[in-house]
Amino acid sequence: MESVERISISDLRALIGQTETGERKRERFPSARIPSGVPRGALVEVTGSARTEWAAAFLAENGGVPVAWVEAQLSIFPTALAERRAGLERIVFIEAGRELDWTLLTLLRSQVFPVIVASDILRGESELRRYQLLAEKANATLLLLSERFTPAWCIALQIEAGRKAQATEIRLRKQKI
Amino acid sequence: MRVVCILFRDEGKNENFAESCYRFTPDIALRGQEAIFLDIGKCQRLYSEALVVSRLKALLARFGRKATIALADDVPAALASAHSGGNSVRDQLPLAFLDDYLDPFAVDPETKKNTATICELLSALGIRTLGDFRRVPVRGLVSRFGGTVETAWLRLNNPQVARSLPWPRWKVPEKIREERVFLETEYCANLEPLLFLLRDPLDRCMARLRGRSLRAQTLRIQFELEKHSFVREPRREWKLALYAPQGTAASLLPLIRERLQAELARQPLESLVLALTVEVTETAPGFSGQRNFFHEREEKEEAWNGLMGRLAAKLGRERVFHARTTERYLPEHSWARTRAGAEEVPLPYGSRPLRLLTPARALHRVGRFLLEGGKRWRITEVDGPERIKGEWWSDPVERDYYRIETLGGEALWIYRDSRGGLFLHGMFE
Repeated sequence: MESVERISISDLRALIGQTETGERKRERFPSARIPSGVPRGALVEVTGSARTEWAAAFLAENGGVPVAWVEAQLSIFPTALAERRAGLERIVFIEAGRELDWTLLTLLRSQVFPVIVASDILRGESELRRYQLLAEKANATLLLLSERFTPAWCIALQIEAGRKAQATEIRLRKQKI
Repeated sequence: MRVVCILFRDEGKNENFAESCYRFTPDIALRGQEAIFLDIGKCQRLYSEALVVSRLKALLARFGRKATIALADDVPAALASAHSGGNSVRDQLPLAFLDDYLDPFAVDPETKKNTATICELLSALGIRTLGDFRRVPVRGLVSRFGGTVETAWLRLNNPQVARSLPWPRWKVPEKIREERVFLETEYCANLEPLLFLLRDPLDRCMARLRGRSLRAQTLRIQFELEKHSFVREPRREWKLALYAPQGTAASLLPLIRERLQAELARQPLESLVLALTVEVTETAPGFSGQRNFFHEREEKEEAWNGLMGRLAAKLGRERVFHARTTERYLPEHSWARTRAGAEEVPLPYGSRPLRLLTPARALHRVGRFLLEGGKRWRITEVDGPERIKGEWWSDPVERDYYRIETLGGEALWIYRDSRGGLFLHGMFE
């Protein structure tokens, strides 16, 4: 008979506790301006007058990762993204119109894109919770570029990217994980 | 070799006519949508030439097509004869017929353009007919016009060379079609049971495609409905042109579901469905016969194609795209939409804002304030101008761009045009 590795009760409890509380080690995307990194499988909200600049810099730092850039009416300027070395060849732009919600849900369910950037989504708590669950399942980061902060508990990280003397100033407003 | 050339004088599906010509010979070749060639040299014991021609005329009448039929010993001669309306005196044909000798199967689209140039040059030298051209010494031609003209000269002067042209044999594309006739117990009046029963024939189609390393590009789905006096359309049919080729039933089913959902909401089924047919009408190269055991590239590509297909079907093809930069200075023309990610063109200009307004919005300036619609910005700093001038060949433009810092911390990208108008074109956001 094969010998079974004995495990102590305290180790077992720790393992069970880890599973129940979901304290698994979360993967993160590196970001020079955020020391702890940007969590994967979570919603991240970016506000402020330099929010898109921060998103472009984040994409430039994480080259090679497939990205979906979703907006109801596209106003993002791909030439400027290329100028900031965000890697246009791996970004799919989607002009969703009225189907913004459907598009985000489809993208998250497909688990194809590790990073999804969405602009000005005015959604309630329940919709955001749905995005969060799907993002968690897909291990994807949903970057929400918003004008104002959304008071929703399901957003894991809230960043304020402001402009100071033509440079981007970062402030973490909320960091849950 | 004995070649029949059927040169069409109207538009239609030449492939369908070519299929009906299999009764005469399996050696069939197509010149695009213009002509069909039949090599009847090896079946002359079965049919006389006169019989073939008379049967072809009868077939043309059945198909409702108009065409000129010509016979010759090689393909270029048959085509030239058909083009000239049956004029058998080859030497009297104008020089423009040289194209028929150079590329009779219309394989290279550049040949026609090059031939036209060569014909112009030869005409200027006084060579106006094929007969004149044949009499020119070949050495003089090659040194002036290159090897292409030599090929035409040889094909005209030596029938053996004209007969040795490679024959691009046309084959009837095989249809991949699967059918499912429903049992009496299989009650199908709405989408869900239909999708359930559609899966089997769809899966079989995909398995057949996979065997040939192909994927579906266009599909046709057909429902046969129970006939009643109130049923206006007893056969419903939909064509699915896919954004990206699909190789599995799993990736196709969501696309079909969304399409049918929309179609049946617009026009519901009027009676029970008795049978359904799935046909793959267009294919694209697929993966190898067996899945790769060591990496997931195929699965990833399949998932990607499926997703892009769904998004494009729902939002429209032009709304799902990659972007590439172009070598143009005008901001709105400095990028283009593409289907696949492309290499970036190096950017020759200064800093651009991440948000671009299309079209630019008219601004009003009152002292230190800029006004647009209901918005108002107080200017704190101005950087510029950067002059963009050019595109004189299409839409001449002269703009002076400024970066404006505002009291609220926003950075605007505005321009003044040649008439002095101020416009908000973007935001450094």
